[in-house]
Amino acid sequence: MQNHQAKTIMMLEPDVLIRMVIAEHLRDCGYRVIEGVAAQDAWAVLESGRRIEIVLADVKLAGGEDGFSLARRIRQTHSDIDVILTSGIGGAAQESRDLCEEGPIKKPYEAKDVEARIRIMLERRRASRN
Amino acid sequence: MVDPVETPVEDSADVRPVVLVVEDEFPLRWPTSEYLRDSGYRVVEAASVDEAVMVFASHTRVDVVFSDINLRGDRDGIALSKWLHEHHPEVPMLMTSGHEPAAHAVSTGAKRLFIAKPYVLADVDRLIKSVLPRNG
Repeated sequence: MQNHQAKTIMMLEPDVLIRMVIAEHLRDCGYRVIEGVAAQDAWAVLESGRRIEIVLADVKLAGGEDGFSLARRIRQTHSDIDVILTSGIGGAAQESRDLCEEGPIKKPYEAKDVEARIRIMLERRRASRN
Repeated sequence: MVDPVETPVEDSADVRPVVLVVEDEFPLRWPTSEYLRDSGYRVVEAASVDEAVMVFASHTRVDVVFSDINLRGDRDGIALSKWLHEHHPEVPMLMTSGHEPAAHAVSTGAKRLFIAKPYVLADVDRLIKSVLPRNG
């Protein structure tokens, strides 16, 4: 079950539905994915000594620090980590598609399909509030 | 509300039991979720009761909920237990807290279990398996 060769992606996304779908796709492509909602979650992982190869973060995060600031600080302190900033569903879907193409398991998928799936879930969430 | 188009949201080939982990403390949610994934579950992570409810609203399959009781926000784990009892009575729930809750708080039905913090992850796995409909 555990793939010790798998790269670890720290995914930071405050919307639970986007986070759930994108993180699961990245796992299907063979990555280990740690899910967080705020910049401080990434710092907690880094301070624990756990190795992260990629940070995939939305520009808008929970907590006080946004994605731009996090990216700048990580590039200063951990230059070996790739930081990818996204904005919204479409950006996250496209970036995860690109990551999957480079991932350990070749599992092609269309970014627009992922985006469509998230939009359906968001629509259901809205409908359930009415 | 009926879906105009029934779109499959789940991978039907995926037979792993789905655990919804509800925990607002990232340093705890992260290792717990990772351990459960390595134990063969599909894990959905929620940082609040609101997020947990959104997961259900999105029609994502959830087989069991593992939730902290003391959560930040308007609703705590007891409120989530009541909501679940009302809307998804078939879904069992394992609750956790650093403080032993009042007995009536976790006994809203047969499908409620409690484990005290700090917990041993293997015990969480064992308790989840014990409440899964077909024993995981």
